[in-house]
Amino acid sequence: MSAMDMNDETLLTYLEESREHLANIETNLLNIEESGADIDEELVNTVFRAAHSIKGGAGFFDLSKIRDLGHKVENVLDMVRSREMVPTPEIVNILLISFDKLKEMVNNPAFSNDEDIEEFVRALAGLTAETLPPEKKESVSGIVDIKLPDGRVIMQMNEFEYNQTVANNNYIYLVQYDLIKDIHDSDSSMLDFHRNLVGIGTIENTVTDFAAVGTLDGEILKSIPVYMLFSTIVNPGKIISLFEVDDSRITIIHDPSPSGEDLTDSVEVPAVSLPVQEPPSPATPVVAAPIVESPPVVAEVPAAVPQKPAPVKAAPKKTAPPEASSTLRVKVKLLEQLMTLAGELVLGRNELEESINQEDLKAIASGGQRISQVTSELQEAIMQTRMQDIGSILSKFPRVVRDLSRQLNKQMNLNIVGKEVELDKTLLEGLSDPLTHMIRNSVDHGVELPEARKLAGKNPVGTIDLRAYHEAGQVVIEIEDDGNGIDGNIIAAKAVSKGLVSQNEVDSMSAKAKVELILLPGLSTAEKVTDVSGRGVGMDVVRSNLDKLGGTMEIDSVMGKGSVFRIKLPLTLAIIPSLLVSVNKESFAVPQLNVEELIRIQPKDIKDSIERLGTSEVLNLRGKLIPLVFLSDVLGIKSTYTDPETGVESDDKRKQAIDRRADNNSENDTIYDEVRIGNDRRYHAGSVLNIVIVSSGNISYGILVDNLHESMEIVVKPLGRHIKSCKEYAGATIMGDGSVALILDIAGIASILKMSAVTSTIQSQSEDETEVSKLGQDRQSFLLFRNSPEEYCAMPLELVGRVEHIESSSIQIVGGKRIMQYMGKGLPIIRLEDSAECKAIPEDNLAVIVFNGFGREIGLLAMRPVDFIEDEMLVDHTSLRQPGIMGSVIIDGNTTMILDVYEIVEKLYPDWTRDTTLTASGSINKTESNGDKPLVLVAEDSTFFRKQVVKYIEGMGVDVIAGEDGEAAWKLLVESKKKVDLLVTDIEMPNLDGYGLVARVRADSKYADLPVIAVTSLAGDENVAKGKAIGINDYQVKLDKEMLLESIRKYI
Amino acid sequence: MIAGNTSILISTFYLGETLWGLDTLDAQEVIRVPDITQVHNADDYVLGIINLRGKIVTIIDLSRKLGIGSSTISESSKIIIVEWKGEHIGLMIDAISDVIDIDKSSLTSAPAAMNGTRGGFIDSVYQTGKQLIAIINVRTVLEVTEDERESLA
Repeated sequence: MSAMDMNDETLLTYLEESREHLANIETNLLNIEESGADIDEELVNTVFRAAHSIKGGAGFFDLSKIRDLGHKVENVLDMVRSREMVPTPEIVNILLISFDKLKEMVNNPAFSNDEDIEEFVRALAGLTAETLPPEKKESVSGIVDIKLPDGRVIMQMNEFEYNQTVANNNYIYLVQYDLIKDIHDSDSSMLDFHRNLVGIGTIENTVTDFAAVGTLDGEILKSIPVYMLFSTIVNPGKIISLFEVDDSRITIIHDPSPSGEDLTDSVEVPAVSLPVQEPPSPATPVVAAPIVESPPVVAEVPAAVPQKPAPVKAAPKKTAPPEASSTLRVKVKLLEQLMTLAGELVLGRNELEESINQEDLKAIASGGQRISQVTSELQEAIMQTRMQDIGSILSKFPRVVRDLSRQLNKQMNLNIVGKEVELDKTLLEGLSDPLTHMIRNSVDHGVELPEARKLAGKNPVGTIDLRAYHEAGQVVIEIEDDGNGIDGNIIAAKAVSKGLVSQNEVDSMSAKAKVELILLPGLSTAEKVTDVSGRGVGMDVVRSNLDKLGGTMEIDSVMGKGSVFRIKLPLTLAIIPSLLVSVNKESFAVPQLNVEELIRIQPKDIKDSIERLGTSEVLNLRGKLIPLVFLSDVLGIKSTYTDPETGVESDDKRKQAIDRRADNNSENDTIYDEVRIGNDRRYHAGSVLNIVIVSSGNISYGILVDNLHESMEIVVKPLGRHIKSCKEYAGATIMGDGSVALILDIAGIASILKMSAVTSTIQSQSEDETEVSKLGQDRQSFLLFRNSPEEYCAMPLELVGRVEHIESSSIQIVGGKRIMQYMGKGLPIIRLEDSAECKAIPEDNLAVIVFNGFGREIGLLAMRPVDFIEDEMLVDHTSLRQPGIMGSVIIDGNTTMILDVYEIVEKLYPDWTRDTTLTASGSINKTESNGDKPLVLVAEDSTFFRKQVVKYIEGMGVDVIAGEDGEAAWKLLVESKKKVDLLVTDIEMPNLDGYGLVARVRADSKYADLPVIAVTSLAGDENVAKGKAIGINDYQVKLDKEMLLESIRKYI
Repeated sequence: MIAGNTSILISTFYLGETLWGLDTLDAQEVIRVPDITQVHNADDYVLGIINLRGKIVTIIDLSRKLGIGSSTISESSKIIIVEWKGEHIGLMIDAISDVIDIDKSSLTSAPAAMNGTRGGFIDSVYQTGKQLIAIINVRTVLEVTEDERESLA
């Protein structure tokens, strides 16, 4: 066989046509299956014709395997058509996989002849043979010789097929064409001939008679005879004109009319004797044998079916990317409209050129208007060419559902509504996989087994509704099942156990939000991993695919009733409505899809609306905290602030202010003001803040921009390769004035900033609470100040109540102790030098840091400026250790002393602490009946706080063991040989948080009575209530030593 | 001049004071410098993007890419539009010079010490009476290397 020319236009046409034929076969076959014995002839005919034309064309191109398989399929369909065979699910199954194979081969014609179709052929032949009466069975493997008038055997035909054709009262003609004279010289192709004939009969076979061509050495080829075996009911009188060859080249092999019998005789239909014939195709004996032996072998045919996927799966490796998508069908009417518009455009241009030459301004204006009108019409029309019926992807689902439900022993109906809804081509392509995944999910996890459904009082046959419709300029696709629904609590528990969300967040979620946690990456709910789904990648992949398409997903689920998955998609990706914003006179487009709302904050409201959370600013929007980012920071644009004094230099300064800014207690108004007005010009009293609240998936945040502009439809243009890696941008667009604006990628920016969905769901706490940043696990927040110009100091931010600027004159010395009037009370003032050896604090530029301890407020003197830092840092607890200094860290290259303010107080006011120690020892004695010191278990993730807490508790004269998270503490608890008398735990911890730990403790009867004290910075009423509910005995705010120790004394 | 495939047309241009060249077949057109939209956070050799008759074209600072400093846009600055992997890209140059028709045999390989030779950016050099013209290889110049992608990520 000669190598095929894969670029041959005729071949390409054939392949294209075959693909079209194959496209609808699945649906039709499924309908045939549904009707069962009640055959819809027209439907069967449609499928039959498809198989037939594929087979017929394949003959011309020497695609022998396609031809053979097509032929066998045709036989089975023929029997269905003639009601000799009832299309049972098994039969349809075999037909389906055979068509799959055909499709695969048609998509990959170059390799089709190397495909192994043996199994398919065998299964199909088996079907044919199985339904035949015994006396006809042998004919399945028999062969009929087709001879030329001169007696030469030119081709062979399967005896069974021959008999079928004859039985249908067909004439059989053998026609001789000449490839050179008839085809080449008349400037047509075999395919044209083929097309002409397909409507009126069946091309059984085509053979090129190479024997008649002679040798190449001889004369120049004058003719290449091709013989075609054609069966039709058309009688010889009429057929000659159809063949377009003179009748001498037509041989009638069989004539069904009684008068024509002699003709058949002359051709001598051979009484075939099997052994004498050439070896029949190897498949046939295999099938014939078992069938003769025992009828039950029927079962063997379907049994072979599950093995089928093997060859099918192996194939895609060499399969070229589906070519079907490289062409697009456009309605002729639309094309004509485009032509008209193009004509209009040319006219408009001519008119405009003319007017420009004549310098007729009025005419120019009208010409411009005309062109603008035509352009928008043209744009609309061109967009329409990209719109395709969603039916093209929905129609594959009946098959998917059918196959899957059979595999899972479930029963279900799939109803599809809205196949005619049109979507942009690229969207459709991207939608196919996510939808398939979701349908499979519904079948696998959604709909229950028939028995379970019966028990639940439902119809044992499940229903899946797949709906597509337009709504508010978007396309909505719904997948609804009447299955068991999704248990939001199970999803939530799983999400918590996998550390994807915290228990806190889950508790504040609605049922719907809990169900939608299923969209989080890394969460697969299938308790049992099945073949079908539940491999750990699941809905999150669907979600990320949808995100790429600009789509969103909602889930509604009612336990026991079913679930609805709702996908919303833009109509097209190429043109999107966008909001224009600007920073430093540079314009950017934000896709409207991502825009939630626009907010302008007046200068006077800034203080109330914007809060600090860790290193970032957040907007308090109706009780929800939304992280804020400056677009200029994200993109590294220098600010436009025009202050001649600060100028360019201020940019760097501001950056530093951002970097160094840390968590804060909002009572610290002085610090706020200092940072805002002193260093951060962005919060300058005169500036209004423009914030675009955007969302992507379940992440939402606010983008601060200089100006908000209009909303407009923009055409998305892709960015070049050199910029592709910039995740900030989704593309670019050309503005009305010809300039280029970049389109912001909201999801991309979130990922660059490592924003997580978690930050956005933190519930707002009441004003006076301290929030701890969730960034990083070993991060520490410190308040930075100096004791003297060279002595850098820090104290844990959690201890700080407020910072006040004071004059040294306001401090009085009473009885050797410093005190100042503060909010109507005397505030004891301590200095580092009171306890540690260090330089004296200067007299001016002072601040007092107010903290709580020993049941009262105490002030620490510090040098301004006071700043914050939050960073991962290693505290050195030994080198600089002295009373009042617990250790040191390096911050910005300076060795910074970390103060232990309690030690300073203890040194200065020994009587305050004496009470404590006394009571402490007293209470300890109570429990010392067993002669042992009590044992306290501490769970705290921050190394710094763990050391502090341990030190404090050890100071009470008890034994302490400590773990760095819930898991570690649990392990210590379980493994401890000594009974643990008290658990002191942090709430926010990695791996297993405080709530999780307590829940575990309470769940174990051994520890049911173990007292638990939570030490946390999250001490809102809600949290306290919640903690109490799960069994936390007491709550202590991080980190008031006195209160903590007092609480501990209560429990041991 | 010898016609046929032994001769090659070289478009020459200035980067700073140095004369460079590229195969005229690589160049689509030479345009004046329009408004360039800066792409923040892109690699430093990317000057930005422009609108070239409805297409978004990335503008590359050729000097920076070749490692010979960076260009300052002046009156004489031009952009050479080249096509690379189906995409149009603009190369910013300081001034355009003549198109010269030279015999391929007069091209020699670039001396190892020359700027830009390390990245394979220079295909060959052409010695005129007074000057040495380095002929750049547009494909290697525009290749986005893994390193660059990582550093951007």
